[in-house]
Amino acid sequence: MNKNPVIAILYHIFYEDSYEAVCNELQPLQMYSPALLFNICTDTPGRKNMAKQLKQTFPGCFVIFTSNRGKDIGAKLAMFQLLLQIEMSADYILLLHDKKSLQALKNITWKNDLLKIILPGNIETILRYFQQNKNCGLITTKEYIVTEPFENNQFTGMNGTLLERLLVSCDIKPASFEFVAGTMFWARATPLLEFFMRFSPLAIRKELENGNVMDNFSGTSTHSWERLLCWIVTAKNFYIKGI
Amino acid sequence: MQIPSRPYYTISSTALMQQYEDNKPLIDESVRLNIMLDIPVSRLPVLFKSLNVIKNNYIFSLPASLASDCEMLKALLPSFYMLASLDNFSATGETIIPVLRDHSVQPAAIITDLITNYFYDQGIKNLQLPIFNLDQPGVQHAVSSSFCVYDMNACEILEPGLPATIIISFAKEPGDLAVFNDYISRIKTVSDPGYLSENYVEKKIFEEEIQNWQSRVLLYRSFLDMSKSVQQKEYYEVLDWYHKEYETLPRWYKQFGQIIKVIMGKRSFGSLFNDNIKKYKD
Repeated sequence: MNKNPVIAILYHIFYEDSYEAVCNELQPLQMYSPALLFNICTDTPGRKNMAKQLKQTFPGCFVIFTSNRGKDIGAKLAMFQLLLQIEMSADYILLLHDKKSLQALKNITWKNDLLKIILPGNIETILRYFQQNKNCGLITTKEYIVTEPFENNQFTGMNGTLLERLLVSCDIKPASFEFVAGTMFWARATPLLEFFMRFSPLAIRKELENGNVMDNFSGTSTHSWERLLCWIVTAKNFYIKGI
Repeated sequence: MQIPSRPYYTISSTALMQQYEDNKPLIDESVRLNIMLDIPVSRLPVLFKSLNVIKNNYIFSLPASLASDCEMLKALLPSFYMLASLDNFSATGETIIPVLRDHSVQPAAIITDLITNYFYDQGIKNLQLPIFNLDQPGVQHAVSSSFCVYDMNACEILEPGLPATIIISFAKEPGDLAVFNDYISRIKTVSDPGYLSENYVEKKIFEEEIQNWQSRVLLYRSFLDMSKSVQQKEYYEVLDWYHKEYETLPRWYKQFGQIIKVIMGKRSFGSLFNDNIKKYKD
């Protein structure tokens, strides 16, 4: 690769027993000296201790505590605010969280699949792909690239009404409605940072639902923003690459 | 005034940042700080980075001139929220952001609603903005905080009083950090041994921790319930699919299908004529 890319990792932690898993997951990335931003939910027992441990393991990392608003999406928005606040520039942003989805049947498979993007063998490939393909905006596990249903000029899924409203209000015009289910992906930093300089991440976070919200039965702002986080990038003529 | 073992000592952001920019950590890590936000907006990123380096627990306070300027406040609220979200910010059950005024600003001019509502929208429901007067010597109480403008020349002993978050500001602002450290070492506190408020902050954190564990138990229970309803939904979807795809087929078609299964070795031949014969291999 031509130069060492600047990587910012935004990692949301909700579960009280995630520390070891987080350390193991991030180990292969340490050789790239990434900027690390952690958000621990204020509801998480032992968060102060965990913050201390994280700072010992990853010197220089930032740790914030925020309430459980918008699940990992709200947390990632808060970390985007912090990125802007500390005026940190980056080439690539990696979004991660300690997904468990305990209510789901295939929760362990989900998490393992999503973490393919930080397997030691894949990191170098991903970074090289970004450098060689200037139109690639997002890289994620291919099985989790999903297309939001859209027929007869309108969204037909649970989150349809909200999505239509948000796309207009945030002036996002994606060419396709592919997104990454699970919101763990590598992204080019520029489109995301430029967007959040126009639209305050905390103002968006404010609109998200409290608590462990799900969209199995009705649409939610949280799940709508799960889609929009990808469309912010793809609307700037970038595509999603699956690995 | 009842003094906890570690009160918050007021220090200006400028002084704090000078220290860490020079990379000379002079303040003992165990000292709790009340950081006065007296810097221009352009310096905020440096303040964030400095706060990330220090290990001291801190709260921050707003000068009244800032807290009474609506436009300025609106622009800075995201920064305040992020300052209160950093891990070293010392939330003690209540999130406290003192507003420090002098005689030139009346309490009525301070716009607390704007700040409280912003924090509420971000999930902090119990933000407290006690207003204290820097010109008033002695101890002031507001909500669950006590503020003391301390005169080093008088060398007072701070007497026990209300259990609260204690913030100490020096009547004569310490010119440099050596003086600041000297002030801290010279303050004599008296605490009531019969009352736990000596460790007021720790006690509050402990209580919050217990509450978090209790909520966590309820959350895991709700996961079980949710899991059940999601699986139930999936079960009925599969059942519905089965009815639409298979059950609606004519009887002769389904019977013919059983014969095909026998031919393919997926069902025993005998079981077509006798219910007591095992249909499938284990």
